[in-house]
Amino acid sequence: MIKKALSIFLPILGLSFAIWWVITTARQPMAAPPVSPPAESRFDRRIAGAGIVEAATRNINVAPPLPGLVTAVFVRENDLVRAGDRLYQIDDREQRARLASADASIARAEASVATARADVANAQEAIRAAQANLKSARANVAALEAQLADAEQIVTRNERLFAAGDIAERALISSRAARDAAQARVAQAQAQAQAAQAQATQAEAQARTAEARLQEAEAQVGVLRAQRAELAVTLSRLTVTAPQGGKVLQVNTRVGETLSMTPATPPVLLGDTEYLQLRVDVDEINAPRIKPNLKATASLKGDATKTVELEFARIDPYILPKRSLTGDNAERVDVRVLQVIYRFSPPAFPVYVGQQMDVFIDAE
Amino acid sequence: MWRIGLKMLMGDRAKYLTLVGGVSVVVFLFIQQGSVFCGLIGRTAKPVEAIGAPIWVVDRNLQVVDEFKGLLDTDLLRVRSVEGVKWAVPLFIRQAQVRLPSGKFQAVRLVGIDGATLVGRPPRLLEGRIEDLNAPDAVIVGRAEMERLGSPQIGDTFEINDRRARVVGIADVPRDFLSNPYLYTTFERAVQYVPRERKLMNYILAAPKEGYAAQQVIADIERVTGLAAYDEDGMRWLTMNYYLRNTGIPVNIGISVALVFLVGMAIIGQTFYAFALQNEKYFGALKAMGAGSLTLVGMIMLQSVIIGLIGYGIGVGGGALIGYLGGQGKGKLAFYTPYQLLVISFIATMLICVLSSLLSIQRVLRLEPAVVFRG
Amino acid sequence: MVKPSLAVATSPAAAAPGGLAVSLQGVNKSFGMGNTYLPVLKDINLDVRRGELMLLVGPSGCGKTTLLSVMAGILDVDNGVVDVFGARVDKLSQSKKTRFRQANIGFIFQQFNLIPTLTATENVAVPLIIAGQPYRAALERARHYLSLVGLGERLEHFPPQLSGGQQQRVAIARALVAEPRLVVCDEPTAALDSSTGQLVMEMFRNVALSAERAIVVVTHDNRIFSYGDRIAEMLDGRIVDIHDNPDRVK
Repeated sequence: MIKKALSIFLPILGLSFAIWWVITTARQPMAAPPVSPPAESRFDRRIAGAGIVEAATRNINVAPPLPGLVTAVFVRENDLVRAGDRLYQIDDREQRARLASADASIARAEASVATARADVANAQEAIRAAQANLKSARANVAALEAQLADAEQIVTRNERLFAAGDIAERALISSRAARDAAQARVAQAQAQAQAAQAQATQAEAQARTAEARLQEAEAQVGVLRAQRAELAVTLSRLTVTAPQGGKVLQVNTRVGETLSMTPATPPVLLGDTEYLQLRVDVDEINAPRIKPNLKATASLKGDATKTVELEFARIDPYILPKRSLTGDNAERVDVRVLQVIYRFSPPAFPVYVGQQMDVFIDAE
Repeated sequence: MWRIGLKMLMGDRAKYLTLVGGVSVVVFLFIQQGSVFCGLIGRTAKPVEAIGAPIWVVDRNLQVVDEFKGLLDTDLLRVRSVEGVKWAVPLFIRQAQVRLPSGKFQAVRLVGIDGATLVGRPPRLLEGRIEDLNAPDAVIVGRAEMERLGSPQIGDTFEINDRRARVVGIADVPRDFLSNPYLYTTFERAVQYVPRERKLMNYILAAPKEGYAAQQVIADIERVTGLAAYDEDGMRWLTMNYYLRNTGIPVNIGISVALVFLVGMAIIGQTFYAFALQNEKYFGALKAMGAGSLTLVGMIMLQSVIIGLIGYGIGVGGGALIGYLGGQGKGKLAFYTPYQLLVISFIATMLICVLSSLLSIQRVLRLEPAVVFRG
Repeated sequence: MVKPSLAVATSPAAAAPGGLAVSLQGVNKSFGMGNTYLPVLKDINLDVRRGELMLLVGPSGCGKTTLLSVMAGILDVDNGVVDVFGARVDKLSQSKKTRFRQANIGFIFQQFNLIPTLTATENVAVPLIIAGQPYRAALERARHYLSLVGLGERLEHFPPQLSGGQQQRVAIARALVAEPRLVVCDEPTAALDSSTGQLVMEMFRNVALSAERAIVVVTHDNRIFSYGDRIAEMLDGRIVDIHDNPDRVK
């Protein structure tokens, strides 16, 4: 029995076990099928590319004109805005204060102008008074000169008469005294007239000075007004508005944050999503095969069943270094890509701006 | 006469057991050593099998699946552009250092698979769901060699390259030659888990379109992209050949296998020769009594074939049992028995048994009276 | 009974009852040892009659066993005529000789040469099985012959379980089971004590010998000389004397 077991049972058992062992441990393909179908192309000859969805206007990164603190955000994602709509507000208190101060300066300058005007009026008044004095002084001189002429005629007549001896020497001497007195009076009056003349000249000079001061004050007002206008513009720029209509794609700023001149992420990203476009990276090696108006399809990265037909838009005529789309935008690979732009209207399934798509371009 | 032959063979239990035992032990040793050899070499290709893809696109100078030779990002686009390629996805395999909660470091084989399609994902999950791999920081740990990571449970975390990794699943993966645990994650995260490299991706997995022959597609990929492409078997043999060329396995175990084979076959031959010599006088008597040469040859062949078969059956069974008890090739013991090993050992055993017994019967066939009458 | 056609007698004289069983004429045999030839049988002329038990005696190395082998069709001769029951054994091809032996010759060896792993019955049945008889029928017949040699109680014993005499009796049964016409015995009693040897020789005479059968016994055991009908004496490869046995037991 033992021999039989050994000779028949054991070898058969052993061999069956070995065969079972070989079969069960035989290498079987372990590959698991893809969880979701990978991107596939229906074109036989095709060029594959990686695309990124962007708005038809390209994506507008609305950055602040000045660095500063955000005090208000007026829009949220998905809001539709028109050109000029407010987007967010940068802290403007300083600008407002400076505006007020500018207003005060203008008021003060305008007061200076009024003062200068009054000075001018006074000066002109003084001129008028001086000229009146001069006029009366000149009239006095004329009257006294007439008297002197009379006195001289009398002298001349008396000398002739004296010479003729018609008259007494005394009469002659008396007439000569009267003439000398008249001469003295004329000289006095002429001196008065000269003084009045000088007065008038001085008053005119004063008037000119006042006018000059007035002009300066008026110029100052102009300058301050211009400065104020400038401040007002700056103030208005701190309220950031939409440069054109579109959808708010991204709001990356919050009240209380400080924005620099060139923020790393766009504070507000705008874009027109009525029509989307796809920026497709094509390896420069495949670039010669790209021609305008090639047909193309794109599918969502991660769901190849969602496919859209693309409409050719243009080829960007500049080959640029490829950027890794791994979340880190540092350039690491010395590969350059041609960018081809395709358009498509938003399909039935949701497509978001910024989404990656696998693109196949028909190179038939 | 067959019956007589069998009775002659099995009548003496001691001799019979010696013969069967000798053949069994030799076959057993050959199967065992051969399986260990095949197991070890086979393990070098396990990463290829575990990932499993119809076509592997690699750097032209890649020698073995365990080394890192990066590809350009756009190579993926170029492979996708090749006619006949159904799909192509990136893959990242790299050694990485895991910092365990205890503070120790452990090398792992980090596998970054395409997050969307999960092509190359672990063949079978023991715990967890594969979809969870797309969760933040998620990794799936391979069960083999898992104890080196402290046998983590779902929800455990560790640190890789200063980044957090959270276990979301345990996968059934085969042990490989490097004996490091597997860590699966998505491609995007895998590249963060290793020090910054200029090139991120080192493999592209692809499949041929229906109606296109795989070999043709492979040739087209090589021609168009200038990269190297292999099917799964090609990739396996690339790796196995590398280890055969560059490690001591073939020399060390190969010598052992060869010695077992040679010594074993010598033992079988000698045992048989001795057995047949002992029976010489009986065969001589049979020959004298009119048994034909063919009959005698038939009898002795039957005997050797029977011994060979029995010893072979027991031997291969024992060899397989070692593999079975040693963890079915999944444990530390690398043990893989290809059917070729069974065939080779069968042919060798039978050949040696038959040849050695035929050698011994020569004198009987020449029928020397000394043999017949004096024994 | 199976009687292969090869046993057909070719000469009327040989075929006749009481005629010759074996006839050797001018048989020479030498063994080559490199360039030297060692003559073992030198011009042997010997007749063995049917129904006779012939003893072949002589010192060791005189060529007795060689002569026996020639008669049994085991050894080829260099020249001479070997006629066994009318068949020219010296002219037969190897395969025909094999079948001739199977049909016509019974063997009994000094060491019995019973296969130790077969029962007595199976051992006896071996010649029949070689001849192609069905196994069961062969066993049946073997049992009959074992009872003829007085071993009806030992049918299923293995040779090592039997005494030397019993083993030789099994060997006799084996030699007779195929009904050969010539039985050759090489020192059948050398391994046996004298009484057992005599018992075996009794059996040769009583069971084995028949009118159509001849028995040739090679021996130098003089205790059994009395069982032979004739005695041929050999010396240095020659038959020096053939004489009737004066002491033959009746």
